[in-house]
Amino acid sequence: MKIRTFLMAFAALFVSCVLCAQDAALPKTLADLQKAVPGLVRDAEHSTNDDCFDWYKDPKTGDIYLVYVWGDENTMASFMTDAQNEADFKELSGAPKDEVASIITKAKATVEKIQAAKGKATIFATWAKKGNKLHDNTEIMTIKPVARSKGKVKMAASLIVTDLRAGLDTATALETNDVVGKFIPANLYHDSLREGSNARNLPSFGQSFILLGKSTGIYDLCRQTFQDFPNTWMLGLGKVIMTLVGILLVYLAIVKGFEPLLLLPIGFGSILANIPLAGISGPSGLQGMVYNVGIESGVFPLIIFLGVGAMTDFGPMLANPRTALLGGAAQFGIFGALLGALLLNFIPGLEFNMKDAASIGIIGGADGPTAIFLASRLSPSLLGAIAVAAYSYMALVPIIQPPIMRALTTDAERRIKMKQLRHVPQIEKICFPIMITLLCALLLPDAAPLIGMLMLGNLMRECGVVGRLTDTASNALMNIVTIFLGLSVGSKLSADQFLNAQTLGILFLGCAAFCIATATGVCFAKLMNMFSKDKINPLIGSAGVSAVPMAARVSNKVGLEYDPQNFLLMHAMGPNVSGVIGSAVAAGVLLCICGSI
Amino acid sequence: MNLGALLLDGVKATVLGMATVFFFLTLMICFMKLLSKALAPFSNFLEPVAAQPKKKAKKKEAAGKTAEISAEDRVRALAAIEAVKLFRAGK
Repeated sequence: MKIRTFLMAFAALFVSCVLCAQDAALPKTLADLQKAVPGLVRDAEHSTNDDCFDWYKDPKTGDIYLVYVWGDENTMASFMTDAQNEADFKELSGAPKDEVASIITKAKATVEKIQAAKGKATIFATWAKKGNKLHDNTEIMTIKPVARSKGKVKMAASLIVTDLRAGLDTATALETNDVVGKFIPANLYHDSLREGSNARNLPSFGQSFILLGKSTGIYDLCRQTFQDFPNTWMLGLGKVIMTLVGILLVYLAIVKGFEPLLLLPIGFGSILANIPLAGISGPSGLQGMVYNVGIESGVFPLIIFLGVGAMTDFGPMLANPRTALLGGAAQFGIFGALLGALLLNFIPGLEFNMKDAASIGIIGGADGPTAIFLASRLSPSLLGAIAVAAYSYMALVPIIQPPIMRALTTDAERRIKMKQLRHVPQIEKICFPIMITLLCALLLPDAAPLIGMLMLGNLMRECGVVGRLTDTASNALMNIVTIFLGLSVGSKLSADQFLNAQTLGILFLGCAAFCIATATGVCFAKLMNMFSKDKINPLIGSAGVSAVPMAARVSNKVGLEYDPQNFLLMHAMGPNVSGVIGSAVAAGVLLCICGSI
Repeated sequence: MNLGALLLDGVKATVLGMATVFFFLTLMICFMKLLSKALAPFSNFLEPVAAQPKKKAKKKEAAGKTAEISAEDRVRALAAIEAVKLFRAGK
């Protein structure tokens, strides 16, 4: 009986919340605003000639209003008639039709008619609140206008929010000319209060009850799902799906043991990022702040590289330098996936530009930190899918590689015994990281951050005089950064960024990239055998993908299956560590080429 | 979007990228070989770990020898004690 009463009360609360009418504090559209505020003018001081938003000013009070203008016929006309110069005008009129506007007829220096595109935008996230003090570069919302990419809206001036459009919330839609909010410029503000001015009472019991109802996750999930289902389902139902994806990643980490050090924090990070209303992955939430500090700045992947360097022994590569070429051959996986991503553009609904393709291709390097480093610079919106694909396939190396290795080698080739490696003196191991850093600085400075940190870690390990630093870099620091890296990558597994056809394409290309990298490594080893006296076991070619040391272990394991006395582990470590360098070099090249686009 | 031009860009990036990777690694191999040759005369430099076991071995040998001598001495001493006892007993 009690349960039934509780459920009825809860249902009543829910219905009352859903049906609760929003009060309109601001004029809704620009036309209403112009009626309400006589003498309203376009605010040239704050305007940045943006074609999505514009500022209007009340000259009497100094209040300014943010208006969504994308697709506004008048604004487009004013943009066009800005071209006073006849030559400019001809150029404009000759431009091909696009989604912004198409000029139907024209006369000399005048625009008769401009057909505006539909200017609706869906709000994916809002961070501004009434009374907020907004600084330069503060993010206020994320919107997705029709026929445009999703974008973050950031402030370019210091303002105080005095009023916001009623119901400005995630999943709501902005129509052309909708007034977003009212602001006052604030070059200086303080938090000193008059005595007694801070005394405020709680709202009435009913209002508090409604507020409480609106603050529940269930209400928010339902509201966002059904607000405009085709456009906003991913903000409600999508969060539930992504929470399940997060639980799946946690399951894979704990039960299947797939890269648990990273998949566990990534999976749980995904669960946290998809909690409705909490805003953990927002700009002022924990995950958002960690993301800005560690990923957007590119610091975390570099610190991980420091730790990797402190744990890596370059001795096997120094003992047999020619195996380093196998690490280069395996990088073809990166560029194969890049071409594959561009080819996917032929499939309707999938669109990858060059930067996206480069970020997806780097998955083929099988190097998680490098993939995150490059994706955060070239395609931050794809970072979540790329990181998950990179680490998932790295965990699947023992499953993906052996069939390809067996298919491309003969029984005799798998039994090839390689020469015992020479002893590498310590002085050689110390000089190597310094030499590589200088080489990188001279030839490819774009790759210097990655290679430089890798070599610093390795120098600390080999010199033997900074044991405490080596221990910290390879253990404590690495572990701390791994936690934060996982959490911040998890923050990118939000439904609106992950649940799309692009993610499926990325997962498919990631797998293809690993297969191509393995195959080219093995084939290149066979090619080298044709021109060399000292034969190389082609199985070590697959270790050219830089999943250290898992790929080397796989080579050793497959080799032992055919000859129990043939230990390939140390031989495979050569291409394995050169693969790390190779993928960092490839990342540097892609950063150099695509960064300038 | 012109897909043909995009694919051509992709091929350019592939050729340029693979060429750079191989060039860098080839140069690295050359420098590694040079490094090993140039540093060959100094191969024992900064290798204290390898020298230590020898010292320890010597110490162990010395300690073993000391133990053997003392055992012989002990036998001699015991024999001398027995001889003295027999001498005192008038045998």
